[in-house]
Amino acid sequence: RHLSLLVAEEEEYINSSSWRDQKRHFFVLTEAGKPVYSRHGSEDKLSSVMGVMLALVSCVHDRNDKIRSITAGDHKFVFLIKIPLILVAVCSTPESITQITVYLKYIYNKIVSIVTLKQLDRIYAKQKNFDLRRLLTGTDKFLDHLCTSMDTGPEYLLGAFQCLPLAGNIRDLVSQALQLSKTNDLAFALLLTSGKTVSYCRLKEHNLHSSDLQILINLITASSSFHAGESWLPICLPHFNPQGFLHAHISYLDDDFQTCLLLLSADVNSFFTLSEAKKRVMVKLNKHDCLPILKLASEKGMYNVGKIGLPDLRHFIYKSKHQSQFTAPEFSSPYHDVHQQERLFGLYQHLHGKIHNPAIPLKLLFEVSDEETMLAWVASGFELYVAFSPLVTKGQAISSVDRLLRWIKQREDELFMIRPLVF
Amino acid sequence: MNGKVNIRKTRLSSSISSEFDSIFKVMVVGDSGVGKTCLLVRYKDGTFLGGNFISTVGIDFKNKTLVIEGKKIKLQIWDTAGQERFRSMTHSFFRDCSAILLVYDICNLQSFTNVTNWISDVKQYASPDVTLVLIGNKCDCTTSERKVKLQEGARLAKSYDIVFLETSAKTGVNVDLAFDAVARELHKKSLTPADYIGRDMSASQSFNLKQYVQSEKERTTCC
Repeated sequence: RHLSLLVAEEEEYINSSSWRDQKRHFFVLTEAGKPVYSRHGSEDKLSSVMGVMLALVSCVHDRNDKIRSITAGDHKFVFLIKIPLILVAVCSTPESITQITVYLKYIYNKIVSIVTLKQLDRIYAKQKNFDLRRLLTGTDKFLDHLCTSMDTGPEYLLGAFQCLPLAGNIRDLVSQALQLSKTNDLAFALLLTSGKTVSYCRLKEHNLHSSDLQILINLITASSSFHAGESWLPICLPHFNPQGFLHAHISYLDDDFQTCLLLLSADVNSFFTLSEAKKRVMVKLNKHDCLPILKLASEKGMYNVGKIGLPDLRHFIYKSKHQSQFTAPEFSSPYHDVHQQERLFGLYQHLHGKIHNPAIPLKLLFEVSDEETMLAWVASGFELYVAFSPLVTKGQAISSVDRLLRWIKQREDELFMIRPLVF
Repeated sequence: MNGKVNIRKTRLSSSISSEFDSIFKVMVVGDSGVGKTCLLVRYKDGTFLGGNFISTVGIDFKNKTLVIEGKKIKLQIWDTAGQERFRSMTHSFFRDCSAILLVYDICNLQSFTNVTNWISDVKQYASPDVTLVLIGNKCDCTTSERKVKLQEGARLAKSYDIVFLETSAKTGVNVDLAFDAVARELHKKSLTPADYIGRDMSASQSFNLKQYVQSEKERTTCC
């Protein structure tokens, strides 16, 4: 009786409109069918749904194949199989299957960053039915935060990060300050203000991959736990090394928790060494009064698109491929409310999906609709996605884009981190 | 006990020795959600972190300076995350730690049951002469919320011969006492025969952690 009650409860839950009407579902389960995470609702109540997912995966697997996606009406079911984990997305949104797969990879990497691939493999080699939630206690909010920011964050779509706009010379000063943190086994030093990258410093032979950087930003922006003094925690950066942990020394440098310094070392015993390194960085930053400047820059936020002086231009995203960085203005009319912003982001996703379609990749895309005219352009060094007012002609759009590119070029130093320093 | 205790006392370089006479590492451990961070914030800032539960990620580090018998003592306090995945990291910090405050939640029986696991971890990884204090937190709770009796905590502590007290980070009951008592104990343990020369250290020498806590502690709800 108890079991049937549970099943009924589960059924009621997944038939509720509050659950069914969610546009993006993400699920994580183990290959033994144990629920690990669900973006909406409690994964406990979803064991039957996850059972169906596992059945689908197994059916295709039995034919020596791998299930990738199912399309049913407006819904796309996308699978990412990373044994021992299975990740599934169910979306009724404009993203392409390729894009959704990228989102699933972010979720997977986030989990790896918490437990490492080595630990994951070791546990499941021994115990196939291990409940991974035991090791993920307290991390739901990080995964939730990641999923929410993927809803409207170009960083995930583009695989690029956004810098805090800042005068080039100030950014250089910050980079030099970060360089002072150099100690043995230090891999990365990173400074964030309001969750945006100000600068980072790295080992010569290791680049900081934008997806790893995103994991760190997600960590800082999702929890206020780091407001307390200095924190120390193991974190795995899957692009840097999925097998092992780095050890992060995390501290806020100001009283209102705007600017945060992260020092990542391979040495588990280096807390005090890094604590000293932090002091060196602080001395340099204070000498040039950088912290108030950073605070001001973050309050100023992004630039307004009106500043560029192109009448039909409403919004754009520019990605510098070489730097893996992007820039975009703040939202202005008609994208004032969240609903409009989500709609615009949907258009960007649509353009991005179409221009990067693996079957027929495009270079230039021009689409006219009732509400706006959209242009996408993929060149050797950049990608550009632009929203114009609907009545712009093709000729006007092209000439506007030329002027926009010149405007960005002139402000390169301010919008991008051009020269990441090495230790 | 006498002054000849093998305690790890960090002797400071001459440049900063004027700031502190000694530094001790103190850890706060226990299951997730028992109120470790709240105890620490109450002790350090005298406030209570109400509202949402913010679980500690990794280990947080704080300093607290106090004066005992004219000596400036700095406690380096490590506030740990209670979750299982941080266990091995916590163990690695046990090694050179002078005192451990082991916290459970008197409204959460599981956290009390796990105390024995924590103690065996301490025995395995920490120095044998580490000062261990058992703390039953949230003693501001109502009788119906309470799941672990005062006597049960006391009995468990007695069986391991460790000091026990109930605290409330919410009201502040016994919080300062817990940390101050630990500081006094560490101070006593760190005294070497040289420290006694020409000074009357009888007060320090005769310090007894259990008696001190017993005499100073505020009575908590008994049932």
